[in-house]
Amino acid sequence: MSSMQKIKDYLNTGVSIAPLVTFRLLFYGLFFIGAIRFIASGWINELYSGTAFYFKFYGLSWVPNIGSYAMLAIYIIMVLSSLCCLLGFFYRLSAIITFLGFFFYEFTDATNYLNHYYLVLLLLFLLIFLPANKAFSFDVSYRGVKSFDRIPRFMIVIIQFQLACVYFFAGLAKLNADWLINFMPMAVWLPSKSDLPLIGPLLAKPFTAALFSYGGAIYDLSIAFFLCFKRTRTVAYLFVLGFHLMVGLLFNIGLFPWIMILSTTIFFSDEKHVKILSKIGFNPNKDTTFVVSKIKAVYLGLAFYVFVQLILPMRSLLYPGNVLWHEQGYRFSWRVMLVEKAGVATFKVFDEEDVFLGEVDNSKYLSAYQEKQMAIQPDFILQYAHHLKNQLEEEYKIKNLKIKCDCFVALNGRASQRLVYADTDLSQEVDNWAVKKWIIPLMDN
Amino acid sequence: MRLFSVLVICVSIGFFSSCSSDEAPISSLCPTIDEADQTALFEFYKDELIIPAYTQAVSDVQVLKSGLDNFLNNPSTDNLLDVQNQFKTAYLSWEYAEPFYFGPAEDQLIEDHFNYFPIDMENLQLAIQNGFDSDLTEKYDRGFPAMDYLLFNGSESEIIEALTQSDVRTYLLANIENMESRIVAVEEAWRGSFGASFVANTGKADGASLSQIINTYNRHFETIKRNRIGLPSGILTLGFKQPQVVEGFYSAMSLELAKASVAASSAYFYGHVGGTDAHRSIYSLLNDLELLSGNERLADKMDAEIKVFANHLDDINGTLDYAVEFETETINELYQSMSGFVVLAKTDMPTALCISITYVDNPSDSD
Repeated sequence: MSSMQKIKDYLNTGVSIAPLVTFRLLFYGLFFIGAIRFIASGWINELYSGTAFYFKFYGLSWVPNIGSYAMLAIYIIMVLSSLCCLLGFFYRLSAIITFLGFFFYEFTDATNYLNHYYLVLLLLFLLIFLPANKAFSFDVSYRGVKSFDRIPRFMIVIIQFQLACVYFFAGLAKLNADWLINFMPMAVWLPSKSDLPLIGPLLAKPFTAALFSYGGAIYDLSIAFFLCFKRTRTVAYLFVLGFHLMVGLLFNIGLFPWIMILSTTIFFSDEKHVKILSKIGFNPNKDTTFVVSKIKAVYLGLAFYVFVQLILPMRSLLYPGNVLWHEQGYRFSWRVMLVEKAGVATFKVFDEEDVFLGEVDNSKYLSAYQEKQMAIQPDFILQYAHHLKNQLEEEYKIKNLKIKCDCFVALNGRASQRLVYADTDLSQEVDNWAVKKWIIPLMDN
Repeated sequence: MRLFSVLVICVSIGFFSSCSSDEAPISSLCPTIDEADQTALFEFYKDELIIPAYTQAVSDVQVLKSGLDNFLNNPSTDNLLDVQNQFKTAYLSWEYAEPFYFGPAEDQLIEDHFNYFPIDMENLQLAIQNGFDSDLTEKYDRGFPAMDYLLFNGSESEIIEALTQSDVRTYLLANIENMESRIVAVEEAWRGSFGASFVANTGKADGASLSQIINTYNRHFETIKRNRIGLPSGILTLGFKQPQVVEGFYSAMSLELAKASVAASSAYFYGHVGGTDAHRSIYSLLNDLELLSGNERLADKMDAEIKVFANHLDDINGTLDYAVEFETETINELYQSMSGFVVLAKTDMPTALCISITYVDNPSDSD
């Protein structure tokens, strides 16, 4: 038997549906709480009213700006749809609605991009296709959906793979000089938490930053492997608990610790899941296996998904220079907590004869938070320059304006330096996957 | 096993790709600042800069209030002149208290109640008809800017006539009472428990006193640059000048006020106020810690740039609204030199001190 066939057989072996059911309960449960928390915090109003301009991701500029009321409506729908998913009630439809709602939210304003939102989006996407409602669900109890107790193994493995990607690439991204040699940005962030009781004074010590930096890198690179093996799993999970709770305590990262703590339970054995779930009434039809039709197409899709997830985080290697500085290939790559950046971006407007007309009052077009984010991310600077050109030409009835930018950024403890060439007319530059030549490489200082 | 070798290859690629770059190592890591030095610094700011500024402003606002009372009871040209002068004195004193916008000042929203300019003239008439309400009256209808307009717009007889109308009179009195009660509350808090906690709040945490100082210093400087110079000059509106939006337009004290606010900002940076010789300040801190920006001392760099824009400001004569119209070159130079300084103050200084700029903070979570 060829090794390809071996892999296929391994992935297609029937395993218990229990881990998937647990995952459905925990993940959608957390999503439900998260959506309510988001509404209750007033963030929708804070983030989606007040400015007319939103930053977009490359290729997703078509996502419309809908304002805070429509965004609130989307969130309310997501509260309901995630509850339905949790209960396994009209599961497929609810899963699609939840995914679309969150997709819309995530891609309306790229300013608010967070890696853990991206993870949530990917998991919501996978869950659309997984038969997570085929046991212990309202669909089975009340809608006559057939129950199964076994599913092909790849349905569990794909979620494990996704979580392992997050850890592993986050670990790889930490293998850079700033992180390993200068302990940046931990050396800045930890002392800023030195007012915490008990551990506070410890956080101000340089040694602690070194410990966090190396500990974090080793944890990220190895934890998924230790979770895979039965012998190390329990200890590894204790590390998951300790690590995420501590990081959650120290940094303002919202529900991320809980996402990881709850999601990684999928690494536990079938028996553990069955044992716990049966206490709350999990009792699927015995010896029934969910059979995937069109398995070839499914494998193809699966392979494509895996390929994309492996390639996307590595794409930054194709761009010369320091990715922490130029941020080409930075997003969707599990680069978390790597940079402390402070920037100031001043846009200058010239007419077609290159006569200086004036500067831009950023506060007129952007929220304070958008401005702060824009000043350190080159693709935002470019988008904003294009927006300014359109906006100002219309406002002042002048044609062929040139937009240039004085942008200074201090990265991870370095002195500030120019991020983009001051004489480039940014309104003529296009955003694409090519190397952005208008970005000045990070230099000695 | 195969998986493991893939892992090793990946790790090596990642590692070498990050090591092969030719960047210099980061010049300075976070400096440690002695607890005692911090306390001394905060004590100096509190006792030599902040409390004196508020005490002066409180007293001048109270003088203005009684002057206004006096004028409204006995409207005469002499009494109008008196109250106008008292207004000018109080407005200038306020400029020295304005930078410290944190703690009690923030609790009292004092900036919005004192000096949100320019006023909205049409809306002000409406606000006067509706009567002053410290919660409902819009921020651009009250404080010094509203008084600037009401006390100085028109000829003496016109002003006197306007001021003695009962709704204007009531409005003015309520406005100054609101200002007085708020600034008194701020001063009391500084003399009392807030002052004590400010001195004790050492460390680098967000909200610790050093972070407050660095953040409010930056914030204040940016308001000078944008509101006092940028907007009227037309630099922020592609050359369309708006001389009437300068601070203190009607009392024609725009230049004095701008100079006072720059002087207040400098005092915040250098710790220079009359009296003591041993100045403790942001400047002395940067010096003592020998912090660098590139190969230069950060303190020297900032000091040099402050002198540049201070000189440009000295080149201006008359009023800012005049300069905006007729001394465009000087105003542009002033503005550009202030922009250069913002880069140092907002990126290099906080980075060197390991303080984050928090007056623009994440509205939601981060990662």
